Amino acid sequence: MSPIVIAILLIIIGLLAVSTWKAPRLTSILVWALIAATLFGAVLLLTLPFEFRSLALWLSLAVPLIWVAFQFFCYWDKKGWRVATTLIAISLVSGAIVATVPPPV
Amino acid sequence: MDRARHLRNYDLHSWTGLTLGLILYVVALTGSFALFDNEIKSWEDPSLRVALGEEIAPIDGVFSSWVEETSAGGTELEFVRLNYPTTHTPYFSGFIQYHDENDVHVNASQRWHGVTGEPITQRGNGLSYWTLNIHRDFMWPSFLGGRQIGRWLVGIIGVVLMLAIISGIIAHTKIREEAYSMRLKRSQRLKWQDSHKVVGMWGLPFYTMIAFTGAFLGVIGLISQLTAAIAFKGDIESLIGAVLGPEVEKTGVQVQMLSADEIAQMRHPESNDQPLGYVVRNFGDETTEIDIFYEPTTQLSSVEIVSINGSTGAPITGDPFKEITLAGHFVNAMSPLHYGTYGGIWLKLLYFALGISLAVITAFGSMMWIERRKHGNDGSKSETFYNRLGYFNTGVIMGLPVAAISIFYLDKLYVGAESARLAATASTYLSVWVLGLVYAFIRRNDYATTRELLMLTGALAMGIPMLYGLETGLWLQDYLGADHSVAAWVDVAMLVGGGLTVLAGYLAPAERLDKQARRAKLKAAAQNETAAASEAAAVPAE
Repeated sequence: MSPIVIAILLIIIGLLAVSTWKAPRLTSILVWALIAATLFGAVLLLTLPFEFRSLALWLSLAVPLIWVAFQFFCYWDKKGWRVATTLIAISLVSGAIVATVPPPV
Repeated sequence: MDRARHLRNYDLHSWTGLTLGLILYVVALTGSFALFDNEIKSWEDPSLRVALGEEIAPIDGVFSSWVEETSAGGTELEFVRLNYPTTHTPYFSGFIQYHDENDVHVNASQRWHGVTGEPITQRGNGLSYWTLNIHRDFMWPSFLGGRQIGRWLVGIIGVVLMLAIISGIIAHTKIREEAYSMRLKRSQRLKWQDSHKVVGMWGLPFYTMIAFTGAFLGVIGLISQLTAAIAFKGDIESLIGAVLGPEVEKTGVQVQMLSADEIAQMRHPESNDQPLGYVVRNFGDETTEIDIFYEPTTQLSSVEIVSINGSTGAPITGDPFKEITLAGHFVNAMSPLHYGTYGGIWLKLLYFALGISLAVITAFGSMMWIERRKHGNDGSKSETFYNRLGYFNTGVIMGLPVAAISIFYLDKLYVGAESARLAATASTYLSVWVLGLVYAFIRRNDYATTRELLMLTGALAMGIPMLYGLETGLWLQDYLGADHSVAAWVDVAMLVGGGLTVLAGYLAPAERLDKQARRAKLKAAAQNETAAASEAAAVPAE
């Protein structure tokens, strides 16, 4: 990876960290909910023991709903920091699973 | 629910509505017009109104020649499709995709008359194309990433609508009482608020369905690409192969293809329906396959597909990727559910009414928000700021219907090259919309602007049958009973819809009435009623 790309990535991560710190609910609804929903969807696709084709289609229907559920959670929970922590944790755990589980085909 | 959570939820509802409410309004209003894509197509292009007989013209000769001539010089013919004439599209339409000598993807299409088989001169894309696609993808310009980006944005609006619906349901704690509460003699803001709640409650099942199907249709491309990037490490071809089946490689052995006329005679093995069209993969190769499309057995599906060998016509069976699973049925139902294509014109009219109502409650939502801040205790900015926000809001909301109607006029008055028709349609639409916005800022009275632009929209709509008669010489009464009277029903809808819109504009207030003015108005009305009753009592009975 080139240094410029690494620098851009670091800037994005830095901005995300600052905005999550300053406005956890807003950053979570705008950014973390989508990241968590997508990674979580990918984990379900890789790990659920159902026929792959049907599972992919069911998940294509489910992921928008998971996204909305995560967004809704952002303003439902009493603690702003807990919202951000939960979504970041879901993203990290999902990311780790995705990195270790090989694609099914 | 504790008060802090209730307030957070309420804020979520208002801010989703406020930040993306105007875009949601645009999607809802343009979607209401997009429902009538087929009807508008028939209205805009009289050459499409062909009376179909029992037999359609032989097409194989002209179609094969066209495919051969068009793709000549290209390196690979990827995709060949022919649609047979139907009631809504009474002509043959052919599409091909091939790689040219520079290995660039090229798409080509052609239409032929359903009865004579003669080529039909294609009209440039314009009114119906714009009306449908401004809803689907905002006709998102290529310099900003292209139409796919627009489609994702529309899908995200569906997600936001779902969020607004859930937070809206939770925000309204007295949901049953509010479903019947309309305080018509109170302030304008309360009328908007009650309308927002009542219409929102009664239309809830429709709005939920339209939000979910819209979100699915819009973001499926985004989500599948993200999922592919994550789960398949960026290998989207593998994901497509795993879901739709692996692509069959050509062997290079040439075979004689079935002709388009032979395929036209291949009726569905169960329903005995005639084919609607077909798609060929690996054209001319021994691995060739043809998917023949038939009317679906269930209305909640676009087509039913039967796959055959493209050379022998033998059915392809036992391929698990050709079988439609329960999930596949659900996915296939998304588009018919979203566009209301499963139940005829009356269902579309119901969709239209509900779609317009969604646009109206979205508009009421933003109007209430501004009104509360201008004349209530909620605002923290200056009056000038809220005034300007109000003009902007009103201009966007009321300029859009005028723009949507104005392109009907452009379609009939356009005299330029067909290749530039779409650009002219886009310019007219956007210019009229901006003019609506400018008018709102010049008028400096949201109530008057709303009233006047509503009446203008209605008057323009009512003028469309007249414009059509003057331009084509075909008057409503002449072609209402003729073949493809669906075009005439567009005129009828414009007359009725236009009349209702003028009436709505006429009844709308021209200025904001404060509490004192409203009381004075009610008092005057009551006095008039008393005076009339006294006069009636003074007249001796006969």
